[in-house]
Amino acid sequence: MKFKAKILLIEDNKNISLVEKICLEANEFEVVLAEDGIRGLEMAINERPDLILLDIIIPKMNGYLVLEALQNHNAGYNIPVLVTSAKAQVDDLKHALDYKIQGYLVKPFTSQQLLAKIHDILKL
Amino acid sequence: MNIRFLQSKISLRWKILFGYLVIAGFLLVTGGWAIYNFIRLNQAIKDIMVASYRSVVASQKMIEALEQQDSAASLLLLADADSDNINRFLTNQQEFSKWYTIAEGNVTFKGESETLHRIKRDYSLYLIDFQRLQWMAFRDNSGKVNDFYLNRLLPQFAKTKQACYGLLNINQSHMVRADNRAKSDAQEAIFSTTLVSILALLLALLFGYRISAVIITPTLKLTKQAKRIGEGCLDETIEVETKDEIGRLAEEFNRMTLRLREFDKHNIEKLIAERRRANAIVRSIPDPLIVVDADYRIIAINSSAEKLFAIKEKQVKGIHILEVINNEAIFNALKESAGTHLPVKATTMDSAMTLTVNNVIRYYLLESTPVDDKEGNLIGMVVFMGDVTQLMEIDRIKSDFVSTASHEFRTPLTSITLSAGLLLDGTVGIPNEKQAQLLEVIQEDCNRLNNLVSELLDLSRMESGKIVMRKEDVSLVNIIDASLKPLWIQLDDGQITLENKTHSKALPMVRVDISRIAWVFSNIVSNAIRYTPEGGCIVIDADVKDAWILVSVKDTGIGIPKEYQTKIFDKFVQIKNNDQYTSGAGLGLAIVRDIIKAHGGKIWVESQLGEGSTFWFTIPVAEN
Repeated sequence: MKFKAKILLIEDNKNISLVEKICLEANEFEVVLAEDGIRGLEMAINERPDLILLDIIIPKMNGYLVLEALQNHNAGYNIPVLVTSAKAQVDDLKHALDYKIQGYLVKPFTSQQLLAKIHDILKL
Repeated sequence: MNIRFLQSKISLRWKILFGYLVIAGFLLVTGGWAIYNFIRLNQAIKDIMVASYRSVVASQKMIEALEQQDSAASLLLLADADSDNINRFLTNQQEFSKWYTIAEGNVTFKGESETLHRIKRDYSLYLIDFQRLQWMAFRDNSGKVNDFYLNRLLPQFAKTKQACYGLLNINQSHMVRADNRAKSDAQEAIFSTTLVSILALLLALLFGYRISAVIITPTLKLTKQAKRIGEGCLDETIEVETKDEIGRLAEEFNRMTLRLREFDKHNIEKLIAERRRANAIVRSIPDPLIVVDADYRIIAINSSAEKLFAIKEKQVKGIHILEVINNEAIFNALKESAGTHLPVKATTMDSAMTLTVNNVIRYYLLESTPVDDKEGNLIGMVVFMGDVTQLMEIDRIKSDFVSTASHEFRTPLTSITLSAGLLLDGTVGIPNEKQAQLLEVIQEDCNRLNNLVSELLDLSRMESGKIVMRKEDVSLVNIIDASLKPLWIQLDDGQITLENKTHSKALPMVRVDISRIAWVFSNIVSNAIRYTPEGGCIVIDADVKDAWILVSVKDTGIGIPKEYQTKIFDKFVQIKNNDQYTSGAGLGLAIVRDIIKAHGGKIWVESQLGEGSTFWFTIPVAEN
């Protein structure tokens, strides 16, 4: 099966990651999953995904630190990041926008919104 | 000067008069002395003129007469008994007698009467002798006549003459003596009168000086002490030494001073009581308070400030605030209120200043107020540090809570929404009709929940002052058009006409947060659509009122009962209407009101059941 792209999902909530996985796989994306920041960073470097779907609030190493680490790592530097967060973190979002991210989605979002953003970033 | 005299009740006038009288007395004494001397001199002169001179003249005249007689006698010797000679002798005899009588009547001195007796005796003898001579001459005993003349008459003549000379001498010497005496008396008089005059003058001067001192000294004393009292030393009393007018004045002055002292003391006591009360109030205020003068020097601080900055009011009084508390925020707050002459207040949590005390960060909202005197001149500033650490903490907890809560809500909502969406759009298989309906229900309610969470969040953050309005000058018409765009579909669905009268009005720019005001319009219009039955209409209008634009949104809806007309702006209030299915949570108008309030405006509703409602609100016109 040919995938359109490989997406790394860094999300701690099992339900969300399950649903997102189903959605993405149904749309011809290969999905790899990490449940915390440290694992996420590891996989970002090892799996070399085409996009990272990053939830800001994650255990062990929060989203910002992951972003920071990614930016500083020469391998992770180029991977586009799509951040998801609850709207309450609007100010935090401004914080996130200091890092180079290619987009953000505010929870809850629809599958259409998700897919549209991904296609946008990957220019598919 | 007799003290008793000074202290007597004699009035000042009489004292002065007495002084003049004494001087007049001196004058009298001097005059009297002079007069006395004049009288004495007069007496001396009288002596000379009256007493002696007469006798001298008499003596001289007697001698003259005698000489004539002798000459006549001698001639008798030579010629016959010439009747002329005899007449001459007799005439002079009369003359002699005359002058002798005068001399006799003028006896004043010692020896004069004896001398006069001698003269008389000798003269008598001479006369007798002359008669013998005459008789002898008549008998023409020429030889014996000459002898008689030479031996008896001439000596007798000489004796008499001598006695006359004696009288003359007595008087002459008296005259000389009197003259000398007069001279010396005159000199003495000059001398003594001069002395007495000088003495009198000195005494008069001395007396005059003393008397004026008696009068002036108490006056000067009074003046000096009055001056001191006038300068504020109310404790001074004037010593009352005399009982005259000046004494009475001093007494009255003392009485007045006493009254002033009491009044002053009373006032001071009142002031002290007031001051203490003010101090107690200031000190008891639980948040730090600092009072400075117009030069930023500390006047007072309360115990809270003392604790916070680890200083004592006594130590820092009068010192420039920056030297004691090196805090720019506090100084700037003071400076601003001093400059603008208006109170300066930090209102939002963002502008709270921080201070680290014992490793704890505390937050303060500064409020600085200028203090003016009666004429409006700045005399100092007061800065109040409202301790909002607690509030900040609560706020932080709340926003943490809000963040956490919203995150907690949104996480499951995400998966539900996504799942329902995926199921509905056939990604994992096409659902049948019933399944699709159920899934739609799930989706709708998820939306509702999501809206609720959003609104709660917005409301909570707006109320905690966290929302920052980004105000810009924009055209109201543009905002209205933009906010209405997404609603056209609903308007069409409900067959509701919308009339936007603002297009035809010349409205000034407004200064607002665009997205928020847009949200206001969309919320109100959505409500109007929701509560207006099919075929109804909505009218949007706006007019300028001073510095505000008054906007109205009128609908022909079901109306709002009177008891709800203010309540609808409260949280979670929705008018129970079983027909309508509302997806709102009852927070929309609460948020709308908060937004309008944050712009300084007002919002209210007018409504009649069954006829419709009109929502009115004001938004600020852009300045300039």
